[in-house]
Amino acid sequence: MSVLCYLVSGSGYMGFLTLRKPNLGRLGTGFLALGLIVHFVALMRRASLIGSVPYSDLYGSISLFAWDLGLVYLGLELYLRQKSMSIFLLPIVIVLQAAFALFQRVPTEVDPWVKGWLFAVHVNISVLAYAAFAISFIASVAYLMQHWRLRTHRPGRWFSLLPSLDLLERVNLTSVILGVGALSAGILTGVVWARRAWSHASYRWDAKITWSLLVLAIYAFYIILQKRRGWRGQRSAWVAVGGFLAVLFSYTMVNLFFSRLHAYF
Amino acid sequence: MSLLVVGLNHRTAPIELREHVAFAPAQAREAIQQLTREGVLEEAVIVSTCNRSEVYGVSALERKAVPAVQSFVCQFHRVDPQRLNGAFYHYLEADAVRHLFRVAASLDSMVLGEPHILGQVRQAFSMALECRTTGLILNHLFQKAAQVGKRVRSETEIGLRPTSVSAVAVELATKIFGELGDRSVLVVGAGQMSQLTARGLAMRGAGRITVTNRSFDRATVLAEQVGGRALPWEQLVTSLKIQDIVITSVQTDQYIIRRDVIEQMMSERNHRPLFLIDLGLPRNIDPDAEHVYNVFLYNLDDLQSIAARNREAREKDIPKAERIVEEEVRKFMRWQESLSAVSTIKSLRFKAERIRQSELEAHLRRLGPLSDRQRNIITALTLAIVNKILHEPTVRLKQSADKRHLESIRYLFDLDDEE
Repeated sequence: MSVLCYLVSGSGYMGFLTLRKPNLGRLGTGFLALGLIVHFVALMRRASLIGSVPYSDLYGSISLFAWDLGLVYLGLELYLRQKSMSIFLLPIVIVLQAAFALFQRVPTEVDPWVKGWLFAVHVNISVLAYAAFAISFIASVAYLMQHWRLRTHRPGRWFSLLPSLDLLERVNLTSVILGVGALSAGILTGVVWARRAWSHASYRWDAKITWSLLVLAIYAFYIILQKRRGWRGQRSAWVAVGGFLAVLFSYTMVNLFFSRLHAYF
Repeated sequence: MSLLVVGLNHRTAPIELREHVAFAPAQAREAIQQLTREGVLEEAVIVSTCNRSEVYGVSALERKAVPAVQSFVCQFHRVDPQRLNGAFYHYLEADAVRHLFRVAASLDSMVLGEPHILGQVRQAFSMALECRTTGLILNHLFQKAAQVGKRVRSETEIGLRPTSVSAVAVELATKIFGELGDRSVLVVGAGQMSQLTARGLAMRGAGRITVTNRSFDRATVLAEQVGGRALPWEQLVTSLKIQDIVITSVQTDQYIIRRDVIEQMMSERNHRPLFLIDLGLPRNIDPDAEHVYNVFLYNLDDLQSIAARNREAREKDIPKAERIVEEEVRKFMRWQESLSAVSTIKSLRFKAERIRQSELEAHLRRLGPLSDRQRNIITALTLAIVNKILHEPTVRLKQSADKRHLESIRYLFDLDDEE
């Protein structure tokens, strides 16, 4: 259902950006909002089915990530009145949510310790941070494209649709700050929760924390660069791209191979 | 009654001729009033710009209307009709509608997609409204024309991307800086193109404009023209520290801004983005400077080739715009068709008959079992009432030449939704 809404929304945005019919743009926004609501209901139903937070497994975590991504984008669109970044975003949301819808299985048994509000906060806020970093990544890519076009004197079709370098930079910075704040809170709640859930003796350092701290460091570096203007613009956009690659690595490889506690997010 | 347009434009008449038959606002006012007073036209609107003079009208004179309007224009401007031979074109009915829609969509403009014509069409119409020389048909026509113009602008790329050097430069500036509100512009030299660009930037809200020239007096004059401040020539280089956009057009055989100067200034200005527009021939700014971090350097050639590419893009969208025009022409003609007495009477009768049947059925059901005779009498009764009531309006609509009656009927009986 929500995939369907996102699809309609995505084609609405696409149509708006290529055919320039304002109603299609509104259609896009409307169906994105509808999709998010349906998606939310679905997440809730899954939660009551499992009897735990709906994202204690890989599928739930992906779905939550897609939802956060759409939500952050929608907020940004309404705030900036700029729809052009939807062409980067909607495909990601659609693929993630479609993968979830196609392959998900409801887990039959849930680990007894993945309960409690602190755990819920920890997961939610961490995934929100990932979503913010994803938006920052999109803004960086758009910035680099736009920058390349400007430097090579080749403004093209997408050029007139994409926002200005200045705006992209501000979007990037805003979402990075949001992401850094959320990830810090995520790490903190995670540590606190882990100490509560297990006794001190069995609690051990997790590789995920190391990686998350590295991600934090990269983005903190990005924020510092914004003050030092010789690095503003193209160079810091690459840093943000690097940051997101680290996020992806943390989300996939670290979960699969290095971490004992973070299987799914 | 026929809808017509008579006129000439940049394709059919040279500028000397267009000047002669152009209508200044006061003249246009007078002309449309005369035209309607003398009975040449029932409704009249004159669209007159530097590229076209056109009389739109609704006339009862049938075939004689076009020559009548033509000779009126000649007399009004005291031009020998011989001179205008071949310059006049005219279109009737759907072709006239199409012509106005194409004009409003800027498909008929000298510069394809230029934005002013739509406003000029709107102004022509509101002037005619004031003079009360429009009626049912032209009111609808010009309202639709404004909508067509807007639709074409928003749904196609005609008029989207700039096609002049100065407009391209302004667009690039907004793509780098976004809002121009707190940006500073430095104009170096006195070229006309750089003046235009500076003015364009000011119109988009650029905050501070500074002008510098080898002669300070000249700089002062130029600064006044673009609404900025003058700067002594010697301070040109140091002022780069605070500028965001620099436009140069100076006659010189050596670069006035060298790469090493820019590098030094960029570090002093904390590497904030700098947009350099070099309109000089030969070039004023070291082309090597484009490799400096966060510097965007465009020369005249770059801007011109972007402008040319944008022009091509506009032309590519012509078919799309023409489709919109056709669609709207069809809609307009359907509307006009609906104004004919026959179709109005038909839909009025259709509506009455539908009501009669549904009411009859409902009430017969309530009455219960009736003999055939009783049933026939009741049916006849309903028919008689409907026919008697509709008789007068039917006759009068057929006799009346006044389209307003038709529109009133359509409005009062809500006939426009009846198909």
